[in-house]
Amino acid sequence: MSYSGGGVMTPSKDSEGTPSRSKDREDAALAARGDVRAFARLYSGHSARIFNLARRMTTSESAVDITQDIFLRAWEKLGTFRGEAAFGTWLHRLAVNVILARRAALRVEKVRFRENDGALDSFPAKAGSWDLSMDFERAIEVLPEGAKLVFVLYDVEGYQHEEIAGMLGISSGTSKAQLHRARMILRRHLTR
Amino acid sequence: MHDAWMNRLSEYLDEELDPEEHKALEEHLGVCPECASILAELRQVRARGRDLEDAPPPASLWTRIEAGIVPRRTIPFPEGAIAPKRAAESGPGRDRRLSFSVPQLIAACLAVALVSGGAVFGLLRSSGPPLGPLARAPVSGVMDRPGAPRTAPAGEREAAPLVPAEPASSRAPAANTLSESPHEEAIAELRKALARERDRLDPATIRTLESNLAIIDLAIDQAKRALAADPANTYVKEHLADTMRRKVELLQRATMLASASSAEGSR
Repeated sequence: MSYSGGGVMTPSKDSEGTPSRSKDREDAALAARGDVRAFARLYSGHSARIFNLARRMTTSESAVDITQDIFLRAWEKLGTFRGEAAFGTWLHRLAVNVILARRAALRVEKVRFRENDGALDSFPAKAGSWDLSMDFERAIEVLPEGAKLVFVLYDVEGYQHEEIAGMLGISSGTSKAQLHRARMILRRHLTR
Repeated sequence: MHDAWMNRLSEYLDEELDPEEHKALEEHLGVCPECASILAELRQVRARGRDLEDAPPPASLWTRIEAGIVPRRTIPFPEGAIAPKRAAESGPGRDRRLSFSVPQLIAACLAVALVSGGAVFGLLRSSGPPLGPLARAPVSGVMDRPGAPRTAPAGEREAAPLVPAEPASSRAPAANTLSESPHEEAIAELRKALARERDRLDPATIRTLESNLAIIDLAIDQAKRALAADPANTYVKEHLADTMRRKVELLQRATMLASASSAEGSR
């Protein structure tokens, strides 16, 4: 996962002007004209990142359905992709929008809504097991909703606070506070 | 145990503090081992988040996506024409399990196939003298690969139309030269919706549905071949559009029937 660090981050994993980006642009143009094989190549290159974004921002159970929706939406909207940004960046932003919309629907249905800093108290502590990625993934999953979103978007995906604030309809200061909250909760689990 | 700087540690870590605050916190860290310790742990948490590995999605996911997409058309579907269905997809009802019964599916889909096939038969008949096998041959050959035999089911050619064809003069002119495209888009949307609900359908129901949709597509294809044989024929265009519209309407009815059946079954 690429990451420039130091608060100067980009959510894109595509390098400007790389053959990969150029190929993506070609495939996007072909797919926009109805070429399913080109779209399959785009899927192959980007599905893992999108699937994991969906999984981390929602739940493992709903990630498959949401990823499907994202790629179907991308297929419908390919005509709006102008190639000015990397395809991965365009797709990632579309994915975040779809995920947030889906989360809003889930919230209406009062499914899995948490705002409890003690959520990790019920999570089985495994001292010294942080080398296991799955444990960390599970710890993220049970974070309070606001903290989880900001943590995933900032620390995992590399968005900046201003961008996150725009996506979530919160202030930049709130985004920073939620990030600190998430890290402090995860830190507590780390040290138990 | 807790000081004002503790809440700023993440901002310090991410270099989000202004220079004065950054310097002040740095000095504080020199005299506060607790904050220094927490900062080290926050750094670990941040690093762990950045280094997460992406797990591959299930292998079956592409199949599901592919089933939901169709070749793109050049003429967009009119805005709002399928809005009710889209709203239903994203609303609370989306999670309702569809319970198509096989007889219902067969009845609805075969009705569509008959209407589609019948409309083709009707338009072929009404656009000239009665067509025998030889007269139909050029129509079939237009879009076929050279040498490929035409294998349309006999039922497509021989089924009588359930709805009598209206004369061209009684209808509004076609909006564009591909008047069937909006219906194709709607059909694609319906197919997409069904693809999304695949997991909620019984496998036998899915097989029946796909089988009958294939029959319907053959009937539509026959109509398209007729249009390809005579692209300037407005009457043929309108017949094709009508046939596809009927397919959309009947698929929508089939969906409503399924919803009613689902609601009935849940009682």
